[in-house]
Amino acid sequence: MIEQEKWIKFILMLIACSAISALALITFFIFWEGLPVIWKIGLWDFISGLKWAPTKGKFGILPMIVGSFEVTFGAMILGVPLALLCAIYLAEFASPRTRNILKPAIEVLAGIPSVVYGFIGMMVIVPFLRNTFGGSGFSVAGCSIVLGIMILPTITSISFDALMAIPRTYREGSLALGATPWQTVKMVVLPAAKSGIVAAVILGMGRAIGETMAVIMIAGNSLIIPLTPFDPVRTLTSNIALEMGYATGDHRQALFATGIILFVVIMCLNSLANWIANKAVAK
Amino acid sequence: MINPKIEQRLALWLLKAAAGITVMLLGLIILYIVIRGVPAISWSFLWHNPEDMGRSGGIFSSVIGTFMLAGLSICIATPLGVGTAIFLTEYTTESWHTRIIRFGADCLSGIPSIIFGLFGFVLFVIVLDFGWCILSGALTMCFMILPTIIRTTEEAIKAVPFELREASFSLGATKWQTITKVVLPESLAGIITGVVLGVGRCVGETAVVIFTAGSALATPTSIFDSSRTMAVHFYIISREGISISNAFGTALVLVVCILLINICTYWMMHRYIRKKH
Amino acid sequence: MISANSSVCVEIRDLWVRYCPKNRWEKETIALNGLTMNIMKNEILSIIGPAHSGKTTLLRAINRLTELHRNVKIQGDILLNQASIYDPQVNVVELRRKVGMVFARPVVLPKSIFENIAYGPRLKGIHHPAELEKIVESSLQAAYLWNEVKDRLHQPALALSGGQQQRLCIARVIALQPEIIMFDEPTSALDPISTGKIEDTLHELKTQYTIILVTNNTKQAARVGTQSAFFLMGKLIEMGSTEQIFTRPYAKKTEDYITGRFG
Repeated sequence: MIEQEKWIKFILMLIACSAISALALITFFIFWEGLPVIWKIGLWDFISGLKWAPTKGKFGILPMIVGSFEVTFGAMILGVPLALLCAIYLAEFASPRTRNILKPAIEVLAGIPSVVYGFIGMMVIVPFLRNTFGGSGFSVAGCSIVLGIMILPTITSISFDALMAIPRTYREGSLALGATPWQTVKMVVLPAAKSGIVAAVILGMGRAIGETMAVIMIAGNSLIIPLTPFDPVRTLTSNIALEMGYATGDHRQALFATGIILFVVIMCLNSLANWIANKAVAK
Repeated sequence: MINPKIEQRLALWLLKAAAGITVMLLGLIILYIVIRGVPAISWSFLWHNPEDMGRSGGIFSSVIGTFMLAGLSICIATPLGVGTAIFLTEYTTESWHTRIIRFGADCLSGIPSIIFGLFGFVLFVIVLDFGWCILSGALTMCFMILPTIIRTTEEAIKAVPFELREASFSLGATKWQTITKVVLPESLAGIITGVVLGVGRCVGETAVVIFTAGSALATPTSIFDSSRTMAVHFYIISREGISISNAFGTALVLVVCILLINICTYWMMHRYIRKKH
Repeated sequence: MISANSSVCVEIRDLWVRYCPKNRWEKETIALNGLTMNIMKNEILSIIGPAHSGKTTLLRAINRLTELHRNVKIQGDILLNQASIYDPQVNVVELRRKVGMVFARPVVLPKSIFENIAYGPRLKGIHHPAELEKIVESSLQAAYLWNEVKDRLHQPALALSGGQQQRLCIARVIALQPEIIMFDEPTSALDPISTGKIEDTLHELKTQYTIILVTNNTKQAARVGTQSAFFLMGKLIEMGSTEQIFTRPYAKKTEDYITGRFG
């Protein structure tokens, strides 16, 4: 009996290593495939190169890096205020009935597949932009709008949790001093939940950078650095997804190298968010 | 300086507007898909395979592919996820090794699907030489949904009162007997919630599947066949402009599946929470 | 070392139980402070004392439930029928079957009434339905619960009242045929009528089992116990027959406690 228990513990321990070993495997294989080409070209030339011409052996991903960040920035401008207002309303002012409608609605929004978002963007937002602002309509602005909606649930639900974790006594203390509920939120609750909210925004940013399928359908995917919001754009993710199907040799490795850059950026963002959130808990 | 009362009213109005916009967005998305999708749906659309690269015919093979992939991936991920959660909650106290395991799960949940796709392509399709098939897709997806299952199971197990464990131990149960006979049955609803959420992610995922399971049109007969899931099928026919009407039909089926899964989960969570209080 | 008196059931020798600090700024607490005492067969020993005097810790040390918490350190020894229970050879599961425990709040497992009682015997390897039914019936009868629940054995146990749940917990322990049954303030969460029923059950059980009753209620100790012990700050202050403890205690502290001057 005691022997058996020991075995069970050992097996469970092996199983528990699955998550961390998956992470290790992913890191290993992405770097294994992508690093040789980075060695060959040089890291600086790879990330600062303006020209991406796989047939001529030119691999520079600067336009895509810029594109990814522009799209993400736009999405943050549109998505973050809406998401935060939603979270504040949900946590502080909504009646239980409203909350019971709003929370599942936000969860469903998170569950809708990214291709569906991309498709709707392609069918509705792109024609709208084309008719209003001219050009093709496939643009940074279109991507930002769709990504803004897509990151809404992530930011809302994580900052909602952060707001709910603030003890009720804080609020009561402020209300008892004659503050209005909004003043209480502004001066007591939001500052107290600051780190949780920042973590939520960073995680939302990670999602926006990593999103692939929706972006691919709206971005236009031209290899230029977009100068206005209505220029077409190619992001790091769409670059990988577009060319992976037929890439071979150095070209394929360059796509994996693009993956490395993406992976590193995302890991930095997530670790930052994690660190900020943990600091808040420790406090 | 604005009068606090007016400020309060303005702020509340703004907050309500934001919440309203969010719900409206969801409503519009679903409405749009339903209105444009319903005309494409028919009995034969659901029960026939795509013909002429999806230009006509139905989506039967991709429905089968979707369920095979989601099912297989859940079958692999559930034991791993639940096992990890049991180890984290019942067999260890907070220490450096639990922190490493949690760190792994946290990182995994933040990695974008395209990276999973690249990884699955190298490891399963190329290095292990499974080729593009449902097995490769399911193994890759399993890593993707693992963090969700770990987290929900852990929450559910933590919610089981310690007294129940003590009572079971004092009646002469071993740790494993206590876990299987008392702890797991009590946390079943929470575990199922995590599993169902995982199914939802499998059904909606595109990038991973396209890289690992390929996009064959035929009905898969084994896990070593390549298959396109609904999401991939939808992506291909809509992006390449093959058939917009069939694309809307597929989108509707996809969204209805996701909605059903979400409602299911929500209902289960609700029942679970009510039971606890 | 063999104990001189063979009617001693549990022998506690210089037992120290410490709760170690989880982090730097917490202090170590000593729950039991060099405790030595003997518990006789077929007695009801009632242990009284103020909160945090180590009563519950003692019970948990006797069936080794303390091991569920990692930060507990135990020194000294407990002998059950002249054999140490902390011997590495001892099977903890067997020990817990011999030493049953009833908790302060009724903890029924989220199963049916029948399954609650059959839980222990099943783990022991009894699977025959007729045998299980016999065990369930006799245990429920011993806990005076049979007449109240015999028609709804397969309904969820959580539907029972608090007092019934507690008697179900007692029946569940009896089903294992233990040698000792320990009660950790079994009536602290119950109304007076249920308390009365449980005390009646205790009297009946005395003929077959050795009983250790931890209680906050000194009157209950006086009503039920044949032996009484008074604990304070992890130390045994005084132990003797209930009559002696409650009428002419030797120690001043005992007298102060039972007359209600502190605690």
